[in-house]
Amino acid sequence: MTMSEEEFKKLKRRFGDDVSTWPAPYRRLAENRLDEDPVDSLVREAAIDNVDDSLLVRKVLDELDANRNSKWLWYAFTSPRLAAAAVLILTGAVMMGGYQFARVEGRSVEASLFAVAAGAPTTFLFGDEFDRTVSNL
Amino acid sequence: MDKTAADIDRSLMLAIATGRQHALAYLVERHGKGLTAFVRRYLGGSREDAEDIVQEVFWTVWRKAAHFDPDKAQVTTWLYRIAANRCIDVGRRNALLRFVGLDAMPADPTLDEPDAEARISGRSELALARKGILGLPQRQRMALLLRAVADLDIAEIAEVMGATGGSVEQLLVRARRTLREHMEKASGGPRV
Repeated sequence: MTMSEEEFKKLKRRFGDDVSTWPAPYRRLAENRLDEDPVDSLVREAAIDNVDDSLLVRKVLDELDANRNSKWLWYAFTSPRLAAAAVLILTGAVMMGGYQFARVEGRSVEASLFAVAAGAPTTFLFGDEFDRTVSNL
Repeated sequence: MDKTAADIDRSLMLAIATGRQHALAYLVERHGKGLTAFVRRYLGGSREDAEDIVQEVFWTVWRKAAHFDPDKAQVTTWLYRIAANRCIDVGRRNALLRFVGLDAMPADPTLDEPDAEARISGRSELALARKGILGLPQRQRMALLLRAVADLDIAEIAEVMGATGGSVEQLLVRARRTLREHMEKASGGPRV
């Protein structure tokens, strides 16, 4: 199995003059080893397509850019450290919210109790039903 | 694998590990064609399907480059191991899809007729060889493609396939014999 002179020159420009530094399929094609099993050389020739390599490079780099954006987002959700940090922030936010709510609610209860202690009617605090029940006792 | 080619690949991996895209681009240029041929002839799908898998291989390389240990494996061996594992996964998925009646990866349309290159040069044995390769049992096919396309030696093929050197030799002997018989039967006489 051989490669054309034109193809050989093209590969030489790409990978340099030293054929031994070329990647496997090209190196094998260029060397055309005589000690090789003829089935292997036939398989290589049948397997390799004449396609534009630069297109594959472009596709891989495009895929890299696309993946980098989406996979970093995925990483943000799947990273144990980031997940732990998110749980901590969420817990903190819930605690702060609960505290704020309890403080506001607590103030209104305290104010009502003070009002009753100062002589305000208990309806102020518990409603008419409570007063009726107490007066029936 | 030749020492100098291995050195170039190793230095590319070091550059990729530091986030240099141009190093990845050069690695794709060096190994993309071989990997695409390996994947396509192993799975028997279209070139586009094979390129999609090769893209995934290089994405894995980009992510895991920092974990690559040059003392433990050659870059080529590592690349083909990733590709082989991906091929096995895709092969299983395709088999399952076929089993449930869904059409998985469509067969390579060029298998039924010699491609343009083969027609022009009158070498229809290339088309026959492609059919023969696809007709081989999976492990024989993988071993033969790793030998012929990736130029891996017995020990490296054994590493990629997770097998022993002895079993790889057996796989290669059987694969070559079967393919030779296929070619002889198809062409009506000894050819390779």
